[in-house]
Amino acid sequence: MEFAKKRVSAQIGKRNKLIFYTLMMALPIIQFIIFWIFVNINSILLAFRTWDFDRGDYVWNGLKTFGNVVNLFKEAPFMLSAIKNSVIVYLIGLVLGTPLSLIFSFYLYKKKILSGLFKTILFLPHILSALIMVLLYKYMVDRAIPAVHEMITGSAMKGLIANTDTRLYAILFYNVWTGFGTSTMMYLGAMSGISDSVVEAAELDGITPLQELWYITIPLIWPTFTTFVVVGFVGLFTGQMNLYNFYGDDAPYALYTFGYYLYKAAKEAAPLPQNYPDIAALGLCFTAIAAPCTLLLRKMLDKFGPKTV
Amino acid sequence: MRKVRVSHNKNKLHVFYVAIFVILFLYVISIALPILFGLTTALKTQEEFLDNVIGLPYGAPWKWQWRNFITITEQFWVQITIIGKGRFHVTFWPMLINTLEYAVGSALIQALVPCLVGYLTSKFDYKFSKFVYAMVIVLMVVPIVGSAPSEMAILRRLNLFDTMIGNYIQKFNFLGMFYLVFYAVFKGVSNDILEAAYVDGASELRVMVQIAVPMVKNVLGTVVLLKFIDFWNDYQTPMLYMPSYATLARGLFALSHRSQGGAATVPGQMAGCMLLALPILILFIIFKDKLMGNISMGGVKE
Repeated sequence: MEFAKKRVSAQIGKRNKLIFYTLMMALPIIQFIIFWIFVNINSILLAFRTWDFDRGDYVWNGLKTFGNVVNLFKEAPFMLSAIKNSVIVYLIGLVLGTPLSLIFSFYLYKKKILSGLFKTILFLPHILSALIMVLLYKYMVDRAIPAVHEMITGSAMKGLIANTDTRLYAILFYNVWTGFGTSTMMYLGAMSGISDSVVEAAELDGITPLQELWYITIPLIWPTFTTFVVVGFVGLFTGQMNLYNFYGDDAPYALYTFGYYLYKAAKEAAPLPQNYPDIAALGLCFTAIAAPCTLLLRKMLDKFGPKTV
Repeated sequence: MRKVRVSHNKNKLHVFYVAIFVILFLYVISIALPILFGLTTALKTQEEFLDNVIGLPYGAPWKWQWRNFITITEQFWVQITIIGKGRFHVTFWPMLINTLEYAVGSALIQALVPCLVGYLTSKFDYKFSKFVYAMVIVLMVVPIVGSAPSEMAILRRLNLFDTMIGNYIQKFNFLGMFYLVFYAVFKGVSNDILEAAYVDGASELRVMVQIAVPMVKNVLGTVVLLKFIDFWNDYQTPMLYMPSYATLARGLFALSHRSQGGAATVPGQMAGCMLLALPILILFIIFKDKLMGNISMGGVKE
């Protein structure tokens, strides 16, 4: 009797647990179904549709919107710059930003001189609005640096962003300069999880800091590193290079990136549903390129990267 | 003997560290200079700025243009044109209310939802929990580009476009890094403590709200703060999905890109920057260690 009672009570407990789980999971899952699955399916469908003004709704239109995308690539005056700039900003971030983030986090992880101050300052551009940082930087390089130059040399110079010859480099520099925060903190978090005994054993063997970084630290944080690099790849298509903060809607064509164009087009299209399909088609094309490249990148990093336990 | 050698190596400042130190030191200066420049410029008149771009403001500190921080609030306005609603102005105080509504509400939702799903999937050993965890990891690396128009179309269909409630529903998602953080943290919470509560007759809801969540309150607080900062600074998302709700960040954007009709001076814009940055800097100073401290994708380091 007692045993039967316990069994019934356990069954009720299991059932209550399942009911609680289902009720609590329901809303997040419904939200996910609507705002991830359905949004993305709808995005694909939108790419094959067009707005019917008579019906006030979307109608199927085959591949017409993709024809518009092809025309955009062929005719838009900014497209060559957008391709070039998007690749440049991504590669600079990868080749310059990533190694710097790694060595900065290594320095902080080893708690060397002033690492507390450095950590704070590295984090500062991450917590301050990008718009604030952009304004401070813009006036610094357009007003303060020319003023200092004039004071020293006696001759006037154009601001680095006002000058069409230097503005791209000035903006690229800005993107690297303010781009360390998140990745440095994440690498630091991963490094902090490395077992002290591994490091101590290596130190006993007389390992140099560079060897420690290369042979111990990077292999042990490899999963975090690959996640950042792989997730960052999509930045090639979505990275704005902070152009919207610098120029608003009026960035010069020579500075365009895919991400800037996509955001600006989406913002301008927001009140006009008839413009949605073209942007959806462009997004779909970018996704079709980005998805296999991301998977390939992940495979390559897994294959050629250090093997960890 | 060996110990002596190790200790000697530890104290030796290797050239590698010296090189990083120099780079970081230069970096600190490069970050500090524009902030200092912004602060001193904010305390000048436009005429004084044109005459003295990089120096300190003229006169004693109490004679500097502290008023700029008050007068700039009058220039925080955005003109919005919405089809069907017409054209209207949003001024500083309504913008502040919009910002608080947007930043506080969105931050709470974006911290609590991953926390809830993290708890459920880590502590309820169902197949669906494992599926959700695997799905989040996969979706983190699936690049989706250009889904904003589709999202806007769906929000319009649901009559949620350009509404705060629509924004909250959009934000009610658990995908992303913080879900993994909560998942790892809850995995680290001993099941024995929760089991003891069940034995004492506590309900599932009570165990979650009164035992499990308080055990991760530090991480939850940090995520709320980080999200609040993100949303406080964000103007591009509301501009896209809630064009009627101008926030202070959008006010600063408008201020810095306005070419006529009350275009702000450089000191005015700098004062605007400082005004917008002030609450975040205060939060940062108070919660510096929490914010920078212990979050990683693998969980928390106490």
